[in-house]
Amino acid sequence: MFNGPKVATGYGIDFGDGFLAAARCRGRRCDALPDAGAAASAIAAAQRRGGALVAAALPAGDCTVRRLSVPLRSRSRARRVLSSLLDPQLPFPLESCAAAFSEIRRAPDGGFTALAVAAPRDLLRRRLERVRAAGFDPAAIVPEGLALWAGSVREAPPIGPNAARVALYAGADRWVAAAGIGREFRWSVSTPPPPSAAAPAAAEALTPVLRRLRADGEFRNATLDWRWCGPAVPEDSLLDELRTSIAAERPCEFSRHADGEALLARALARAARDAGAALGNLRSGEDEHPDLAALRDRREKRGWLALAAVGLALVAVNLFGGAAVARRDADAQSALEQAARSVAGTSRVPRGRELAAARTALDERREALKPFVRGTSAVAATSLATALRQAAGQEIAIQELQISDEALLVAGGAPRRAAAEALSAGLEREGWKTALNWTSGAGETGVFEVRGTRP
Amino acid sequence: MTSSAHRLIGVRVFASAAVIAGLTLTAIEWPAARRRAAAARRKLAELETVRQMREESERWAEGRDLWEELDIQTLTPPDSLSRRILGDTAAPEIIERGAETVFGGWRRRRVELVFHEAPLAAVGRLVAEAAAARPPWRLAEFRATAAPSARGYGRVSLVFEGLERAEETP
Repeated sequence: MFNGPKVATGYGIDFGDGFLAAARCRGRRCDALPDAGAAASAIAAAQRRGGALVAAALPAGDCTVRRLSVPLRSRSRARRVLSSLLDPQLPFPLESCAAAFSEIRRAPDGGFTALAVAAPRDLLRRRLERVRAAGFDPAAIVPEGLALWAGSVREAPPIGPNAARVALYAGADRWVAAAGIGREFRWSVSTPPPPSAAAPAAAEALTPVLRRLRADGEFRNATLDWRWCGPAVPEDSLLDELRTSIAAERPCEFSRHADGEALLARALARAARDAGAALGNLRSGEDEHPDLAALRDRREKRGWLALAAVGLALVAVNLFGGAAVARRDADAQSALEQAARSVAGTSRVPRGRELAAARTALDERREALKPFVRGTSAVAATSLATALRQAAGQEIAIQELQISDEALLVAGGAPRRAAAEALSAGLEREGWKTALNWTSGAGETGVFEVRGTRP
Repeated sequence: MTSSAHRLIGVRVFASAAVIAGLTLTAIEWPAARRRAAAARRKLAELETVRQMREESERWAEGRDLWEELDIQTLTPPDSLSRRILGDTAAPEIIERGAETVFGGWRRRRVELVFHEAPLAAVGRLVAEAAAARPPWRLAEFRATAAPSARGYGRVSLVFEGLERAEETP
């Protein structure tokens, strides 16, 4: 019913022999903390308050990362078979492993692909103990190679979907290379750091990476973008020598990540905000951090409380809304009764008969007062005045003139048809609907008859 | 079971109860509320109609007040009006067309004036004078036929209607 926990603040811990870096991610900001060791207690306090989570990395050499293909069209069914698909690909029994699955996406063939990460639980617990000994209690332990790759493509996005890159983390106790195409992670390799700052030693340290690149057909002909980061990135002169030696075999470019020393810590801080779900949190099952269960409980509780609020709102709307409608109905009834009583002139009008009672009373009153209403009507007088005025103005000789409230007749002779039409139009303006009958005589003269009715 | 789990169960039960209560109440109340709202709308529409009726009724009452407020509530005799406008040259034949009692102690009189030959323009003035009298005479019917002998003259019949107090008539 509810998704995994999410918090506002994430802390990332990059922890290795002789090196500790911490970063905080809050909102859009993600910054390295200046003194990671001193920040441990503040981070622990933030974690206790429940608004923050900590993530650390499991060394790339301690975990396995595989991309799985599931030939099923249902996401939920695909999710259920991921463990059994991973099992035969592991060099150790799945029962002794912690495993996590991320990037579950629809494949072009209609099935799904997923990124699976697994690590033996004893290695995971050993790593956890070491991080705890340093004063941190990470809720998420994610594969180092994936975290490195995520940080690299986030902070320096690839130039295109086919750009090949190796993000190389140079630490005091390990070098880690994460390779991918575009934004897609492919694999990671961990090697011991070179024993000296000489070029041959550094090239020797890169040998497993180069061997893997040679073996991977996707990278064979690509121009490789090497991005260096970490606390022990070699000097520029050494990087130049390394680039020259690699370029003899394949085209490549070397560059450093901006503020690369804490890139891994920043990537882990970002991952901590969703408890490492995007990268695969290996601290799950029996090793799950109690904070995650508490956060899930809290989220679930909030969800249920929201549901309860909806239910209570429904109850309130029904109770108060029903009462409001009833009040509106009662007000309308009261106003209707009052208005009907005042029209009917009685003290009581039967409920439901208000309109009929008012209509009956009005009909009676209309009949009684009709002579007075009629007494103010001056239809015939006004029409007579109009007819006489028009006739005088148009030189019309009226032979016959009959006017009542309902009908009108004007007949006579006119010097031209337009004069009779003007007479007819004048009566139309008085509200008559007229019909002109014209009979031509000598010249333009003629006899006419205008009949009118009241519409 | 932890206290947190107990609390969560409590919240679930409470939320479920609230939603069930809300939905049940909605199922019960909604049809009734719709009926009541429809009834209120109908009553408001009827109220508007009744208010219009009241305004119409008040307008009629105001029409009657025009007569009630007159100082003199007896109609001017038609022959005196005719004499005032036309003099003695065209004395009309006056025919009473009946009278009926109407609301509030008033009666309506109908009188026909027949001029065998009268100037039409002067007859128009007579109609205006009758309408201006208090209580007014209203022209109900008018018939005129031109006289062949003289232009502007004709045989004219006018039917006037007027309201006056019933008890004041002789």
